[in-house]
Amino acid sequence: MKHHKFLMIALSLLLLISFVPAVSAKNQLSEHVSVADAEQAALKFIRYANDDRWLDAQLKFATNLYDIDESLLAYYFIVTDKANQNNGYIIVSATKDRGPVLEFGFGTYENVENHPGKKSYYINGIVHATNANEILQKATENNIKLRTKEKTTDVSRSQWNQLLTDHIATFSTTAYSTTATTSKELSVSRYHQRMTGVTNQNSACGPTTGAMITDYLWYFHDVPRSSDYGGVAQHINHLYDEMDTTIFGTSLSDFTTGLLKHLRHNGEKWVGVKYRGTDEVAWNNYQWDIDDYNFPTGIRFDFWVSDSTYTNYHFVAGIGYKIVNGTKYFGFKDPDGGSNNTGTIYKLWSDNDQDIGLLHLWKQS
Amino acid sequence: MTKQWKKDWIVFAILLVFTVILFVLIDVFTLKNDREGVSGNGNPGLLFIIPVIPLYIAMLVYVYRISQKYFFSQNNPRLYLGIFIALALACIFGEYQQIQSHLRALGGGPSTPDSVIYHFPWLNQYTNTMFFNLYTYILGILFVLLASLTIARLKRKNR
Repeated sequence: MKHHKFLMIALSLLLLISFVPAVSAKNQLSEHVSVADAEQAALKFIRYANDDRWLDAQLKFATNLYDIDESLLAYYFIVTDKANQNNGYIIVSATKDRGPVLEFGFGTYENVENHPGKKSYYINGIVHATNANEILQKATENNIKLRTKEKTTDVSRSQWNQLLTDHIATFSTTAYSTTATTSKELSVSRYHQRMTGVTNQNSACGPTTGAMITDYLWYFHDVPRSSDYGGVAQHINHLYDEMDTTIFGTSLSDFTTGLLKHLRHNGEKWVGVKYRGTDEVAWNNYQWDIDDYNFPTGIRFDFWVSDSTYTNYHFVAGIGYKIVNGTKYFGFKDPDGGSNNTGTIYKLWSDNDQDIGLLHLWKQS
Repeated sequence: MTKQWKKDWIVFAILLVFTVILFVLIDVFTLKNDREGVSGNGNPGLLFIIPVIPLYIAMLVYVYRISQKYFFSQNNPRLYLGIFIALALACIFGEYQQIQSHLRALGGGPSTPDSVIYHFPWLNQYTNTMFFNLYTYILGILFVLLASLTIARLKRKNR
């Protein structure tokens, strides 16, 4: 009898143990997001994003994006308009422990389709390679430590569940729901710091950012603009001097002093204060500047930055923001990255706030 | 050991320490191509490149001065010649590999449209360590030692 009891307990334990991996495997499977679900999430995101440029937007699945451990990380969708013209991109996580939307952008986009025989990896941007080893080898040669993309399981899962259970019978990107999104983007023109005529192209990101900001402010204020100097390149060169930029670059302090001096040329009393992305009211400051004052913001990325940060040692012009289902994205124009990098790039605020310094402008009456 | 000889060694040691530190700092302030965005804010590595050049040249002068005295008294220079040439060849090979891997990681040089450094000057925030690294540091010393050895032999012959 005792033997039977023991046998029963042992069998029960064995059954229990054999179920554990099955259950956990099922849990793991449930984390995966299909292309169809990702597309639904992206469509909802477009709908929530409530942006005129994505009115009547269609999605075209372009490619899978992989992580450095060869796991499927995300899906790349091209956003097209009614005339089937490319109008931006959305990158959606392929698992529920990240995202849902990892990145999006308007305007021109990374050409991910034309890389035959290569896989696309999403490692601080998109990298095309035969396999992950090729990337790892290059990284090792250059003393770069690569890690798999950080998971934000708790936040992401709840957002995924919300997105996928929030059933909407038919998705129409023409019928907006405005409740889920707050957003604004200033129509700032993007200038390329390596355009013909710019004297110190390799260190002109600060002055170029300043020129983008000033030319936009000219529409509403009495500040100098590019045509006052004979063109955009000359305007950038002028700001290069005014910001005391050198071959070593521009500091945020010099950017602030130079830009304020420049904005005061016609007699207006411009003032500004620097702040960090992690300051308590940083996001509010940034949002208010754009919402209430139509002020683009100079953003400086630090030299030493964390893995998730967009870039390092660089200035960009912060020109917009979006809050989609509580997730904050900041949009900016990058003065570098090629002459075609004209679109507005939107990045997660929480991925970058620890490594950015910003300039809050205002005008005294 | 004469007073002058001792002084040369001390100056050489100080310059060696300073130049090694500056080479390390150049490496620290050279950006790695591990980001989506490209840095266009100048080259902070130049802060250390500019002072290291005269200091390194001064150090090479002291390498020459110290080695001249040593090589002049040597009877069998062939061994040194062989070692220096072998080391120089190894360093040239290492430097070649370094340049190749650097350019691969950057997607090409300044004239390649797909490169991170397209339209950049050759010496930029991403390429400092392509020019200032362990191989080039040792190569400079080896070339001076080879020149010093040759001059010492010629001096001996003409004595």
